[in-house]
Amino acid sequence: MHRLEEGGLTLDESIALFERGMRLAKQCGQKLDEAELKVSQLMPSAKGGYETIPFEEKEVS
Amino acid sequence: MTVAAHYFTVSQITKYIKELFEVDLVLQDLWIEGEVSNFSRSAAGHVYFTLKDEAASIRCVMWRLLAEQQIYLPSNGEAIVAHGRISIYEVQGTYQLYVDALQPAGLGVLYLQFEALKKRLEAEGLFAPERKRPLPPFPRCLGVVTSPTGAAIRDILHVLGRRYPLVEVILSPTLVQGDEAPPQIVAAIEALNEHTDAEAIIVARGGGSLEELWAFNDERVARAIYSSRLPVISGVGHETDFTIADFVADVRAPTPSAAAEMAVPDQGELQGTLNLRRNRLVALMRRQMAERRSALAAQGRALSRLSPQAKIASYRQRIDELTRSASASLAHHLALRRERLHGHLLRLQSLSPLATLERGYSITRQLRTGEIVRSVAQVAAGDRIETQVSDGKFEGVVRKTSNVKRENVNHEAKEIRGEQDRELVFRGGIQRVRGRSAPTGGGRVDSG
Repeated sequence: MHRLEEGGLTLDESIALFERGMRLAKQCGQKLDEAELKVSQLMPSAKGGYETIPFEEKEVS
Repeated sequence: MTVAAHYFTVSQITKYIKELFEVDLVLQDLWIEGEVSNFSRSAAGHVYFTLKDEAASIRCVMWRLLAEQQIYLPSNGEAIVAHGRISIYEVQGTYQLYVDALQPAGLGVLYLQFEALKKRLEAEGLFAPERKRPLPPFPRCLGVVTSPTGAAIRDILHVLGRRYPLVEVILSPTLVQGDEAPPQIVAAIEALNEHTDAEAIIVARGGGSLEELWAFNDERVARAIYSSRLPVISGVGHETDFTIADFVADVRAPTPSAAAEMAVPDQGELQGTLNLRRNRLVALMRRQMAERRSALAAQGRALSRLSPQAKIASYRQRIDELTRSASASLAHHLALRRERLHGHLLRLQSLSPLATLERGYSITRQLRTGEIVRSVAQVAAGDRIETQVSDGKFEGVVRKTSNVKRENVNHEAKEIRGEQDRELVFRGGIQRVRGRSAPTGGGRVDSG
C-alpha cells in the first residue's frame, strides 16, 4: 500500500502489488469470517511434561 | 482440713492449664482490640506490651523475627488490633497473647501486609514502567491462567469468541484462592511460558473479598509474573480491586473480561479497517491506471508528431527525382553510344574488304591450301587458284609468272608481312591492311 502510494513503480510492479493486496484482503476477510475460537487446556502429562487437551466449559453453578 | 490423698506440683497444674488453653480453638487464633501500654523492646529484639481496655488488660509478646517483619509497630496509647494465640507463660504463671501480626485499629491486617509487600517489590523495581512490555497486536495464541470452573474463564472465552475468534486459547488451570493457589498460579504461568506457543498470558480471577483475591497478592505470584517471558495481562477482581499482580503485570485490566478485550483486537474493527484499506487500494490503483493511461495517450501524441511519415514522403520524392535524372542520363548515354556505334559501323563499312571488292579489287587464293596469294613467288604455272570478287568467286589455272620490279611496294609488303594476324589485299601492288593497327596503318598505307 505504502509502496504503491509512494509511486515510482513500473506498471507490472504496481499490478503485482495490487493483486497481492487484494489477495491478502480477501484472505484476511475469510479468516475473520471463518474463525471459530479454539480452546484447549494445558495439563501435566503422565510422562512428566505438559500436554494440551480439549477444554470443555462447564456450567458454573 | 484433711491432707489430700493426691496433689499437683505447681509445674504440673501449670502444664495442665496450658494444655487446656492450647486445645481451645478460639484462643489459638484470635484478634484482640485494645490500647497499648508498657510498650518495650528487649535487648534480644522481642517486643512486649500490654493491651487494655476500660476494665481489663492482657500481656502481649511478639518475637523478634515477627516483629522485624512488621512495618508498623505501635506506641503507648495507640488503639490497635493484634492477632495471635493465647497461652501460658509457665515461669510467671501468667497467660499472654503471642502476637504474630498487629495493625492500627480500623485497618485490615491483610491491607498492611499488602502495603508492605507492595513497598518492597516497588523498591526492587518489579513495577517499573520501563519494564512493561507491549502486547502482541495480533496474537495467534493466548494463555489463560485461571480456574477452569470460575466465572472468569467463561467471561474471557465469551469476549475472545466475540472479538477475535482467530486466537487459540490455552487454559492453564489453577486454583485461584486458598493457600494452594499461589504455587499453582506460579506453575501455570511457567508452564505456559515453557510448553506452549502462547504469545501473551492473561492471569485472571473473578471478583471476591480481599481474602479471596489474596493469592494475587502473593510474592511468589508477583515474581512469577515478573519473570514471565511472555507479557502478562492481569484481570483480577472488580474495577476497584488492586492486587500486587496488577502492579507487576505488563498491562492491568480491571476485570477478566477487560483483560480479554485488551489481549486481542476487535474483528469488527479489523473488518472495517480491512474494507477501508481495500477501498483505498482499489481507488489508488484506479487513479494510477488513469494517470498512466493519460500519460500513454500524451506520449502517443508526441510520437505521432515525431512520425517519420513526412520524412518518408520527402525521401520518396527524392527517389522520384533521382530515378528521373538517372533515366534521362541513361537515355543520353545510350544515344551517345548509339551514335558512336553508328560512326564505328560507318568506319567499319568503309574498311570492309567487300567495299574494296566493290571498288574492283579481288582476292586470290591457292585453291589447295586456301592461302592468300600476295606474291608471285607463291604460285607456279599449273597451280589452281580461286579469285574472289564482290559478287562471287571463280577458279582459274596459273599459266605463267613474271616479276614486276617496284621497290616501294615490296618494301611495304615486307614490313607488313612481318606482323601477325594480318590479311593483305592485293591489287596491282596497292594494298589495304586489316588487323590490330588497321585504322591508322591502313590509312597510311591507303594514302601511300
